[in-house]
Amino acid sequence: MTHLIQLHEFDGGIHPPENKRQSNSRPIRKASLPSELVLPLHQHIGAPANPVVAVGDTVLKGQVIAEPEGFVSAPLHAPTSGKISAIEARQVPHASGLSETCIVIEPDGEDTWIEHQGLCDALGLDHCDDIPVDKLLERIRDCGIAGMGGAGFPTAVKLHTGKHKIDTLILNGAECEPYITADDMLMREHASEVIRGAQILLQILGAERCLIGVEDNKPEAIAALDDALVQHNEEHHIDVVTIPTKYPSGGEKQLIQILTGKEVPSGGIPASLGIVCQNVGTAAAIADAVDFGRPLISRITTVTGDAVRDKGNWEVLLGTPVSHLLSLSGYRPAKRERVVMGGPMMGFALPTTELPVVKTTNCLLAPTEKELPTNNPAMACIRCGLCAEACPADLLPQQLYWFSKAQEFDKAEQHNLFDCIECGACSYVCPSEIPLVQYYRFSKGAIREERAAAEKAEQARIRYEARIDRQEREKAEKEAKRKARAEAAAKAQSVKKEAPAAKAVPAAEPAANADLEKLQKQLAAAQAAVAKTKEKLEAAREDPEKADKIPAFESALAKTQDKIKTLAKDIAAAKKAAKSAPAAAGPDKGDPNSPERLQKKWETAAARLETARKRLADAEVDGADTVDALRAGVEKQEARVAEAKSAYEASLNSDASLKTAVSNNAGTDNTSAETVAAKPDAEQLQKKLLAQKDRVEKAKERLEMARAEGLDSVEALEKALNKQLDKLAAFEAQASTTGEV
Amino acid sequence: MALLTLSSPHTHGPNRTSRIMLTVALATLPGLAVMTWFFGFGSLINTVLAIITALASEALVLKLRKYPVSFFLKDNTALVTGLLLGLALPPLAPWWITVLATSFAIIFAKQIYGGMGNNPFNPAMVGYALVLISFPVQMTTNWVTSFQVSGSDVAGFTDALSIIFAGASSTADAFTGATPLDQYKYLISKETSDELLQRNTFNGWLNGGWEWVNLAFLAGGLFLMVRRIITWHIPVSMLAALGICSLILGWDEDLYTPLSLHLLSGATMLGAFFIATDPVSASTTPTGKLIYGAGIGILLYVIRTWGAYPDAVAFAVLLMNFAAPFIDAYTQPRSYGHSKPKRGLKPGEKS
Repeated sequence: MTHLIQLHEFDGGIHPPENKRQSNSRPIRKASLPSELVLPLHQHIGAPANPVVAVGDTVLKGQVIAEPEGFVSAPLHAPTSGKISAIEARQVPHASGLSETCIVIEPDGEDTWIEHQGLCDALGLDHCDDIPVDKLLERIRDCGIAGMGGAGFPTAVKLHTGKHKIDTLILNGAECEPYITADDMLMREHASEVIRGAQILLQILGAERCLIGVEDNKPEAIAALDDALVQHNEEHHIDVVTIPTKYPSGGEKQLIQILTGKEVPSGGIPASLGIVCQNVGTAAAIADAVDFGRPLISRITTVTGDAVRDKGNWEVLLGTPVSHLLSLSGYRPAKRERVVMGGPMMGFALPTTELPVVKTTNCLLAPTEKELPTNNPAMACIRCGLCAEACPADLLPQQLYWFSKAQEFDKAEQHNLFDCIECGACSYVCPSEIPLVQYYRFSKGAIREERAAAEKAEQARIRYEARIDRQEREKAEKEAKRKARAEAAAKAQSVKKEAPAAKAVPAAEPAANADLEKLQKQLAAAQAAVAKTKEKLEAAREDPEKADKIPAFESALAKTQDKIKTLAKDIAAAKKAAKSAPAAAGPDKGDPNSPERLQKKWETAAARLETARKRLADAEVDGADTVDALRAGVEKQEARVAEAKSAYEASLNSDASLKTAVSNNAGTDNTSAETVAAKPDAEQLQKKLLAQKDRVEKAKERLEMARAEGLDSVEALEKALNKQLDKLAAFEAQASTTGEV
Repeated sequence: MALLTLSSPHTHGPNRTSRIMLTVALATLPGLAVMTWFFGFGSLINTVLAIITALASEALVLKLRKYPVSFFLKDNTALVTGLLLGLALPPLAPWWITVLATSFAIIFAKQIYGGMGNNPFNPAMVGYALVLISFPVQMTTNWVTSFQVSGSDVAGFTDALSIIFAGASSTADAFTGATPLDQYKYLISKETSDELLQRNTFNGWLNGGWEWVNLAFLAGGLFLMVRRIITWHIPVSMLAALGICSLILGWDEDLYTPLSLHLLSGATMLGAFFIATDPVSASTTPTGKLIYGAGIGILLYVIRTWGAYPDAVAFAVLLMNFAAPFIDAYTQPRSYGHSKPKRGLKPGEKS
């Protein structure tokens, strides 16, 4: 050691029996090839890798078999040469016990390497000290390196520190968990690679110093590292720091506190303190990748516990079944058989031994019941506070326990539940043998679920309120329309009564007038809606709680204002039309069933279908939960398009006869001539009227259904119904006029 | 092959509740021995009686609640409750006082709240307060005068038995007398401190027996601290608060009970190390423990000096039991990675 490092102490911590002697007394052995290697695509934090080989392919050792998917991901390489025998879901070593896609390789026994070389040679550089940083990062990513200490975070991602300037690199060689000696043995036998890895990491990070923290129960490892430091002539940048043995000093946050006295802010990352922490095994893997081009295809794993005869460390290919490694170590199943992946404090018990070794598998612990007795039934918490004394995060575990048990999650959160690192120190010291960590995991899971649900509910609320606003607006508009229609009908009636002789011309006039009135009513309603929306907008602006609705109101306002403009235009047009109506009431003016209109209708329906389809596609891509509703909407719209189309075609067929009817309507004084032609027309009209009534009924039904299901299509259906009603009214008017003729 | 899958950690330290409770019980033995030496067999008989009652009450309720009886009896918490009550009650208190106090403590103060770990109040002190309020005569007249004070032998085993179980009051009168705290409080208005201390209750320094009893409990308490079963916070803050009150408010020995008597008489040390430190009903945060202990010390002084009762450990502890959850909520330690500690419990507030 060349610098004097001031050590700091973290609060709490425990001293469980170390049990490391069993497995660190003999050198690392190379595990033999198993009959198959099972490689889960998801051995790291982030997105699972994407297979790039197919079943039956022959692969070479070190060949990429799966590419990373997105930024936070890592590729996967064939640990040996052989044939891909399957790509299928297999149970993976994860606490959930779930199955995930795995690539299965049947080794050919040749162990033939794919061509590979060090980065320096690959780039053809003379000086290997100045390899560009981006090339180094690319190499680390390409070699599939992920944190080997336990979490498996993709290393290249962790080294992208963004805006944070890093001054200190910490290599974690504490290995504080009892029983595990994988890092200890790695440091003893591969000290040079560890130091080389540190050099590369320092170069990437542009950091000034590196501290390698090792617990004082590993004197051999410390000596080996110190020797390697001298060999690499790196005493000035890199320090091997001996830290007191105390669990969990190897926790990233705790190690940072010990070595620098700084605390990683809650919810933050070490980079914000200018620190990056890597496991010593990861550093060695980086050295292998950069200097020799060897991807991460094997690791050192401790196999220990009294249920194995031959305890020790193995260099094992990733994907090797646990059962294979256990049988190499002379495993004899004990009573109450347990196999823990990881250490006794934080490891998880495997459901079966037919699971592969993965990038994060540092230890397989097969204890006997005598060695690590399973807990007695938990007794009541007596709030003795031993857990609070042991907690390295300075939490109040007993309070968290009470809150978790009572499912008072808000209080648990308020007591910093999420700062718990699940180290298990509290459970270890608990005199009542309460599985405290299990309670915290339960609470954390429940809170995460709650948060997700709350977010969903909030979105639903926003959607719902927007819908209610829209519905109110439409209701007002519809009301206005209906009134206009009723008045128009009444007027038509009175005109009919007053002047039964003044047949067609007056009939056309009121129609034009009714149109005009309708539009004016709509204008009034829209203006009222604008005023209302403005009011609401003002209220929302004043009330911070409703601030999130402002955009919705504003857009609603803009829409209504647009509508007013179009209405004003329509009114102007209608006024013109009304003036000229007596002279030349256009054949299609009052008739919604004219082929032109129907065609237009068909076209709008088709356009709407297009938008609906687009929206559905977007929703499907986003995985939004509106997909079902949208799909139903699209189907409805499709039906409507079909209907509009058939209506149009039907209208074309009956065009000839209809034209006469229309001309009859628009005719001036030649009544006797018209009467003859009107007879068959009247019959047809009757038929049409019935059909239209049918259609209205159907539209009503559909609307009811949509309303009941709260579908988004309600709006469209209402419009459709209104149109159908308009049509019906027109038919009735027509029928009554023709009928009387 | 199905393996045993349990949640981590897969190993457990040597701490066990039953062992902790047993250690607490053992730590009271020096005190019990000294009491027996100075005041005769009354305390021992009462303690045994209280333990038996406690275990029997506990077993009864566990059976009623359909809990495994022997599993829970073995946690030794009922044993400790009985033991502490036996030590706290007057040495020659009639048997039914002991039985009533203990069974009430176990059944009402502990089991009805849900059993071990769920009682908001110290069960032993609830039992004690019940009999102190209900039977003030029996609770104040059955204190024994030490043999050094009376000059005669203390109650022998058979004497004590007959007094406790047969209510032999004439025999009792020969042994009983007021406690030093009681006597000082009521006589200081008439006499000076020097005159008072010449009375045979006090018999000079370290001669009345009570000082030795308290020192024995102090020794037991220090043992518990060394074994890390209790922390220093509550005893130290309680004794410090009591001492500071006594020095500031009662510095005049001719008007108020002096500091030495406060610290080494009555149930001070038993209270500070064995009763106030009951983890279930006490505050659990480091700062909270300091506040909790200080509160007991202050209340103890106030009640002893201006209240109607000569001693007040039970009331002081019970009153602070009320405050413990509140204190806990406002004294959370600063957690790792946080710039300042959280204060209070605000449901709905997210961290």
